[in-house]
Amino acid sequence: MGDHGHHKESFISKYVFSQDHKMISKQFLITAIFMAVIAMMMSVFFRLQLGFDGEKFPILESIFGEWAPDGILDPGFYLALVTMHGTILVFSVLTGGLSGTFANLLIPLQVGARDMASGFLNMLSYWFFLVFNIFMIVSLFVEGGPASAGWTVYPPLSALPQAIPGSGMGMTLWLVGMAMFIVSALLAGLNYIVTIINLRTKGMTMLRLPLSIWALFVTAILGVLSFPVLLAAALLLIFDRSFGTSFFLSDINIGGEALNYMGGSPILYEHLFWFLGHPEVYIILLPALGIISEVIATNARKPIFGYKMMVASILFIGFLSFIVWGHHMFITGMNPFLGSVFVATTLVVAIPSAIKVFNYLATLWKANIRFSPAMLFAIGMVSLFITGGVTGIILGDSALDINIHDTYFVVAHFHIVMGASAIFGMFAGIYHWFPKMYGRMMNNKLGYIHFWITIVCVYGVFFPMHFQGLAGMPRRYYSNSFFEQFSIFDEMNVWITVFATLSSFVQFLFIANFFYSIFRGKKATENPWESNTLEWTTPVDVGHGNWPGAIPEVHRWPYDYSKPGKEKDFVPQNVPLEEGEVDGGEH
Amino acid sequence: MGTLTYIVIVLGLLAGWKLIRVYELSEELRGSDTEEVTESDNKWNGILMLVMTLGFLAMAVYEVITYQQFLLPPASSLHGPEIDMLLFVTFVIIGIPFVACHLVLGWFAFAYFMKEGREAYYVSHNNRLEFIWTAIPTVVLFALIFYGLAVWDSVIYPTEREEETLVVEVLGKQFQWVSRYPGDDDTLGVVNYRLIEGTNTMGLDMEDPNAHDDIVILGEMHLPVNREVRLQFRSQDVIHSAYLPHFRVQMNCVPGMATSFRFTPTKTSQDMKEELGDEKFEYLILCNKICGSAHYTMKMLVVVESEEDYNKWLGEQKVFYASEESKVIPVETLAEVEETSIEEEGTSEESEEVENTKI
Repeated sequence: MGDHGHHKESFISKYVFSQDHKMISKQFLITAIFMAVIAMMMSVFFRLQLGFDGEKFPILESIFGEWAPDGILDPGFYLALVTMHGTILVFSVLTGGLSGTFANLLIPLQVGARDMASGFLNMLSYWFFLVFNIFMIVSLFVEGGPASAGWTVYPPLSALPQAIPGSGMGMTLWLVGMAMFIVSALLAGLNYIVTIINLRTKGMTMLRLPLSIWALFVTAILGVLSFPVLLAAALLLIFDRSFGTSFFLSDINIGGEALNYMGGSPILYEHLFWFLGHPEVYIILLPALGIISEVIATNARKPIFGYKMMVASILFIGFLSFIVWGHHMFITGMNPFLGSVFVATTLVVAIPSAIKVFNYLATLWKANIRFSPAMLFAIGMVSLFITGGVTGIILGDSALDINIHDTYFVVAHFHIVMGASAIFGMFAGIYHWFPKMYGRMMNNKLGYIHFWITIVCVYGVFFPMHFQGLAGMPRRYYSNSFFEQFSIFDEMNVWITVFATLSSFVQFLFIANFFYSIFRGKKATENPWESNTLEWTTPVDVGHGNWPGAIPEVHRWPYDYSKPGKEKDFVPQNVPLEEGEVDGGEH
Repeated sequence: MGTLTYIVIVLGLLAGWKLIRVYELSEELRGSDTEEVTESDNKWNGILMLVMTLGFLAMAVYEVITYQQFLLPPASSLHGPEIDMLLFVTFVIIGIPFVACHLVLGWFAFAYFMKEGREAYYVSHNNRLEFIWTAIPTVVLFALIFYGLAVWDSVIYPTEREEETLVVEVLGKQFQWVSRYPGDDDTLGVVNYRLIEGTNTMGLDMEDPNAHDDIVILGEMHLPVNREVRLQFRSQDVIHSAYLPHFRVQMNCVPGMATSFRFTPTKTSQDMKEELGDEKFEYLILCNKICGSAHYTMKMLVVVESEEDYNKWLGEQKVFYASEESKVIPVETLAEVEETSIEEEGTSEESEEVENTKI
């Protein structure tokens, strides 16, 4: 790794096929924002159907054509929208977008490395990610529409084009695209792990790593261990669909025809899927928690409380995430004893999660809180994590899951605890590290408006859904008109749609602020938030290589904020310990 | 119309851009800096944090009270009350940290916003405090785990009852439920998915004598009250999930795999009508696993009635083998009639589609 800062770069090598982790990070972010807008608009469209069942919206017909005859969404296309909304947000935005952006930006800068261990693999990981996104977009335009079997694409529904139109070409693109995504995730994850283990600067011991790096480290390990299993599931499903094998299919008689599949089991697919699917939840959540750990400590001007317990919690959550997948399958006919085991492991996850929440609260105690937009979103995430986390204790209990499985209660739970809260973590990260990424500041006032409207809307959308779920209202219903008992929720559904639409429009405020600030924002200073971590020791417009001179040496943990006897309320990690001073993380 | 929409969106974005520019310039003229976190920003956001937290908790309490009436009525099955009790206890247990943590969060955000002269208190950890807040959740969660597992156990393995368990088979298919009763011999006949054809919706194998007295009913099921029933689930095509929310019963129907759920209904449909004061109330099976475009239409009527009424009803049902409509076809001649039956299905599908578009 030499100093690459000075050799001349062409436009292509600097902005397109860049191997600089900072540029790759921006590529991931912009791609994710683009995809997020698509997925978000989808949610507005299907919420229009749920809130105003039977009303005509001519705009839908002008956008979707035959998929929305007379301005009313087609039931099959409704499912396609729901499926793609989930797929894009889970994979493009909250996995690729979140990890890709912040692991790339933060790992080399915060551990003190000139770049990732392999710049080339890193670049490749972005391009595979881009191919996945292109596949997802292309699938919106193929015959039969995009995948429509729910984002979990359970066979036989996803395997048989006779079962739903989206299981034709759209599903093929989904599966092949997913294989591309998994390649991207593996290349990226290996790179992150190797970089964190091998390329830490002098003095950067594992217990001096910022929590963001710990979170990204465990995330990468989870991804590398679990994504291959999804690849296996995707490949086997491709075999079933295209080459007549029977891994997941058996005894099917559809469209008046008995199919020849014998001996396969859809439940096997569910096991394989959720073996990735559950760690995936933490692949999404941990980076967001890592980000807000940094944002909260920096803006509270106070060390993160219980650093070692935080690290232990991250490790414990990572471990547990591999042995809880069965809680998605309590009522599939899985052996009830197996269910019992998964109940125990699932509820235990609440312990490290509770510790993390308590530590965040303790960090705010007697702090000196600077409410930057990033800090607002970080606190917002803690609130969402509490609200969504506690309902996990209900869903993880198999006896209770019997009656609320696949109802709106689940929709409320995971949108709050993993969807909105991870998005909030991502917003916190973007507002916080924008000056590092683009050398300019974002507009704070717009950030405040963005935060306050968004948090009100998030709770306005998802909190009432708990009650719909407790009333037994199934998710993924195109319309409730067939069940008289759900008409009590008609008014609530209108409100939810209003909140969802409003929050979507507020996101354009963020997007405008983001792109405007890239070009016109006020020039940032080197360390605008007066933070301790190493990324703020690099010059504002640094090129490939990160530090123009030598890489700084690390002498202390990253949380020496408001340390007594210091001139300023922060002491960067590269400042040597004074005579007789103890490193804050040591005692 | 289409292009116009896109032009409007693009113009809207451009207008947003210009608005920000105007706003920034005006702020610059006024001398304030939109990129700095000012003292008043800290103060106002701190206050708003407290207001939001209290407002949110107030809204939560309000919704819990007003939406109580929308929730499911007390369970109509023997095991149901156990689940309801567990749910209630769990809600109380999670309600405490939910409210407490939010109060603390809102209060800290308000009490410690940055201002001149305030200094943060440097503290990195506190072993005793951390031990306490690790131990308490651990104890509470383990208690919940044991309680939950005890309920799970008694729901899945109900104590054996004296009288015989009634067995009813439920088949899910796109987009209908079919029920089958064993008839006088109390034994369900052999079925084969390859025999599902025309009116033989269950795929009954008529070479099996046990199948001769089986009763097959589309979209309806009757159960005697206070008698244990084992519902056996099958699927013909994709995964469905038989969801009977009032009985706290749900089980997936998986092609190629047999699943079942044992429970005892304790309230007749009539009881429920009186309890809820709703003459139109009926028990239903909903499909709760995405199963295709018309997933949302899939339902089956469940009637719970007294043993006599049930027996009377069952006596009126025609045995499938003997019923007029049943044109049971020997396996050998399947190919011959294939065409006609496909035509039949085609027309019935069409009429279903017409119905769907009407909605």
